[in-house]
Formats: sequence, structure tokens, C-alpha cells
Amino acid sequence: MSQENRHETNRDHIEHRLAALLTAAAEQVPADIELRPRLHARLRAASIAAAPAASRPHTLRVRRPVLQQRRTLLAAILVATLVVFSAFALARPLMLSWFGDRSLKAIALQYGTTIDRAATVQGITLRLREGYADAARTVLTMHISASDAAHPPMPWLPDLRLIDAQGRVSHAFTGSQLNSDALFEFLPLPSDTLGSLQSLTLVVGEMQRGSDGPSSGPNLIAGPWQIAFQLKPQAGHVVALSVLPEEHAGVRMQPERVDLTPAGVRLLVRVSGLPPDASLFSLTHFNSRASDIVACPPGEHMCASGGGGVTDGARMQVVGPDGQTLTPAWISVVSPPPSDDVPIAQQSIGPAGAAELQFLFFSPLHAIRGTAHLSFDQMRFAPTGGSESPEQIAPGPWTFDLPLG
Amino acid sequence: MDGAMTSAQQGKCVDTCSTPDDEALRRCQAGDIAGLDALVARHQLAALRIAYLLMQDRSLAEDIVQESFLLAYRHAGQFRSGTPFAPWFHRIVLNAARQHLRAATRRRETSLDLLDPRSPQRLPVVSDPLRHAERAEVRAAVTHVLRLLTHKQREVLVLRYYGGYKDNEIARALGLPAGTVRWRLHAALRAFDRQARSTYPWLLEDGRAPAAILEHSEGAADI
Repeated sequence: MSQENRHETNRDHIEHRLAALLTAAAEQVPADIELRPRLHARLRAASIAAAPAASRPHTLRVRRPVLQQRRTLLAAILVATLVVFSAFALARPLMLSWFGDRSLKAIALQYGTTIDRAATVQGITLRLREGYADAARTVLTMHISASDAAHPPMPWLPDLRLIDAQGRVSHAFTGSQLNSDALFEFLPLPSDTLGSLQSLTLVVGEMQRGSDGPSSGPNLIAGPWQIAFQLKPQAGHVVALSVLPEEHAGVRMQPERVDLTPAGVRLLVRVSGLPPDASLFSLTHFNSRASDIVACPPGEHMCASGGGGVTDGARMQVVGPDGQTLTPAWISVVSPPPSDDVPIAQQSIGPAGAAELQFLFFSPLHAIRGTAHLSFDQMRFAPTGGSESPEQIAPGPWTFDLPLG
Repeated sequence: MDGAMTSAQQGKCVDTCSTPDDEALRRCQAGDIAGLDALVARHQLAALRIAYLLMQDRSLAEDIVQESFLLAYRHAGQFRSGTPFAPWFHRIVLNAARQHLRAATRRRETSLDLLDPRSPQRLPVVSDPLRHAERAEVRAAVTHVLRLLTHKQREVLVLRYYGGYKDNEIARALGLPAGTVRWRLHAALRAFDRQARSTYPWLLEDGRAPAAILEHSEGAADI
């Protein structure tokens, strides 16, 4: 066991201790505290005690200073936005001619398919406009309209999924919306769907209405909105690898396949020699770069990125033929297929002790001819929940040359 | 967790089931301040303690929870009757805490409490000074370690290990995919472990202080 591993604290132990520690720390707030007198005073001062918004929507005296500040702020933002957009509109053709337009919007429009199908539930119409799919990602653009709302609601990300004809589900993991136009990204469709027309169903279980106040929490509208459509995932450049497995500390790794697409890279790696009780979730503990997860709403080319990622996992990277280094943005287990019914941390790898991992890179590989280099510094795994054993680290490195053709 | 109850344990009211919180919210909608009083009486302690764990500043926690109750009162009509009040209200508290954090960042204000990570703050009067000192030491240490984490890490840790919420409930509260929540929890646990080991090694080891806190369950929040 490595030095680092010896210092690992058992997760169960920390979890048990943490609950007690937080309870102790929370006692800084005494049990006999009483907010009611202060709330009464504030309500009296605000003159809203007898008129909550639901029953008397015009009683806004308390909000007026805030609204005035907001109006000033909104006016400043509007002016700044106009200036920025004017400048951007002038500069954009020049910028695109210099740097190219690699935004997902451009990819979706360039290679995507017009879908234009809609579903209306509770007066809210969700129109699926365009779709693009490849081995590394699926992108859908949408338009949401509601007759009775100034600001249309947005699909609720945790309840947004794509289902193929075999019932396999790809969950959405990021998205953005500007007024009525939205773009969402889903985990890629299964490999066997690439290159042929697929019957898919978009399911939006709930939508989130923009809250009246910034702190009022998500206000969800029940659906579902379901749209059946057809889309042909781009096959991209598929490289079936014939690379010998490499073994360290009893753990064998073997890269199986690389998919090179205009929007990114997918790499499938088989890992074996793991204990049967290793949790599927623990196998995905690699460093990742969430800043590569970028979604642009239609019409926007300056995208915000998610930022962050995982920094305390095993290190895995691909170095392209031209030296370009890619860090994965998303790692998932493809086989054995995780069940949606049980938390993935409680699902074990099984008696075969082997799994197929999918590494998604959300940046395209610039050079696709020659040899890429793949390396893993270690492999981490932990038993499914409830065990006293800490996370195990099998030290590497595993290194592979990947001939791309 | 002592005295704490998960939202799942509370259970979801279905169809015609009406809870005291539903009734209180109906009164709030009608402009009856007694409805707000009832909600405050039942939920203030848990909310204050969650806000305190997030912000590590008691007066700020009180401000946040007051704001949250006023918002809940004002937006009582948005509450889905038949569902537990606590998760809905805790979402409001989380958002209010984030808003305070953003505002503080914009204003570049620093609470005086935050300048001294081991600031004892106001402590309750207790009959056993030794035990009191021990608990105060634990509280100060935990608070200090929490300050060393990011706000996002604190959110998931507090919701899971103090609030007793499940992954999918946290995901819903934070508007994140459940997978992201699991990763964030994993990272937060490791960060807590690392920070605790480097600053207060005794905090995670079997010894006097944890034993003292495990014995103690004064006014544990009923969430």
C-alpha cells in the first residue's frame, strides 16, 4: 500500500465522525434562540405583515429601494451589454477568421440535423430545434415558450434525459439558456448507435421557472415533455486498437478504442484484475477538467465554462501526435452497465473483476495522424459502501502508444 | 446524527395529507403572521445551524435565516402542498447564504469573526467548565476546518452529514446532477480529512474530544 494510502482515512469513519462533529459545531447556535420578535419587527417595518405577494401583489413598499437599485444596475448592464455586443459584432468576423469558430453552436449547426418538433404541457411549449451527436457528446438546441410568462422556464437539468430505441438512457450533464433559446449536452449515445439513423426520445421531466426572488429556490413545473425524433450520430474517425495489456500491481489495463470527432475524443479502456467488491463509482476517480465542459446557447459564441473538476484522483492523460495534451472531462463506467436504481457507489464490479471505462475529452485532437501516447499514473478503487477498507491505490505507470492511423 | 431526521424519514405527504407546515403556509398566504410564527418555531433552529455551518458566523446566520423566513412568507404560494417544508426552506437558506457570500465578495467585506479562525464567539453558560471547554475546543476546531473548505464543499457536507439529505435531494437543492453531487461530496470529505489532519489531528481520532461530542446531544436539530 502506498504512503498516500496509509494516510487515507476510512470514509465510513470520517462520515460517522463528521455527523457528530457538525452537530457539535452547530451547537454554537443555542437551542433557545428566538427569531420571532426580530421577524415581527422587520415585518412591521416593511409593512408587509398583512400582505404577502400571493394575496396582495401590489404591496411592494419594502422592495422599492431594492427595485430602484436594481433599475440602476439593470440600466448600467444594458448600456454595457450594448457596447460589448456592438464591439463584438464588429470584431466577430475578424476573430472567427483568425481563430475559427469551435463553439458547440457552430458544431451543432455545421454537422447537426434540423429536428423542429415540439411538445406542449401546461401551456409551455418545448421545441427541439437541432441535434448533433457523436461518440463524445450529444448536443440538442431547444426553444422554450410560455404564453403567460415574461421569462420562459428552463428544463430542470437533473431530470433531463435522452432515451434510445433500446431504452438506454443518456443523462444531460450541462446546458445553458438565453431567454427562450437553450442548448443542452448529454453523455454520448452507445457506440453501436454511431453512423446510423437512431430513433430517440427527449424527456424533460420538469422545468424550472425563474424565481420571483433570487433566494426563493427552484420553482418546478411538472411535465413530462417528451419529443420523439430521429438523429444520425456522426461516426467520426474510429480507431480500433490492438494494443497489448499492461499490468502493474496486479491491475491490467488495455486501451480498446478511440473515437475522434469534431467536438472531442472518446477513449475506451478495459481494466481487469480488480477485487470483485470494488465499487463502480470508485473506478472513475481520475483527475478531470470540467472547464472543458462548455455549452453555448444559440447566438452566443462567448461561452461560460463550468470550471473546476477533480484534482485529487489518479492522473490520466493523452498526448497527441503534435504534443497536444488532453485531460478527460468526464469518466464513466460502460461495462458492467451501472443500474439507475441503485446509487453507483453501492454497485460493485462483480466476480469478473473487470470493467470498461469511458474517458471523454471535450476538446478535439488537432493531429489525428501519427501516434498518441496514453498514460495512467495509478488506478484507484474502493469497496462498495459499508466496508472498513480505505481506497486502494495500485501504482503504475501504465503507458501506451496509440497508433491513430 | 443525534436527533436529526432525514427528509426521507419525514416522508412525503400524498394527495390529501396535510401537515402542520401546510396549514401554517396557508395562513401565511392569507397574510396571517401566526402562520409564520408556527414555521419559525418549528424550523428556526435547524435552519440557523445549517446557515451557521455554511457561514461560520452566527450573526450572519441569523440574518440569512431571517431573510429566508421573510422570503418563505412572501412566496408561500410557491410551496407545493403535501411535500415536506424543510427541504424547500433549506433551499431558500442555501440561496440566501450564496447571495450573502456574493454580496460580501463584491463589497470585499470581512467579518471580524473570520479574521480569527479560533474566535470562541459567545458560548452558553454550562455547569461543567471542563466539559464546556472541551466542547468549545471541538466547536472551534470544526468551525476552523470548515472555513478552510470552499463554500461548495461546505454545502454538500452540511446537507449530507448535518441535514441528513440523500444525494438526489442535495442534487435537487443545489440544481446539480446527482453525479456531480457525489463527486463534490467525495472531494469535500477528502478535503475535510486533509485539513483536519493538518490542523487538528485529534479531531478525527478516537480520543477525548470526539468522545465528548458523541456523548453530547444538547438541542440537536430536528430537520
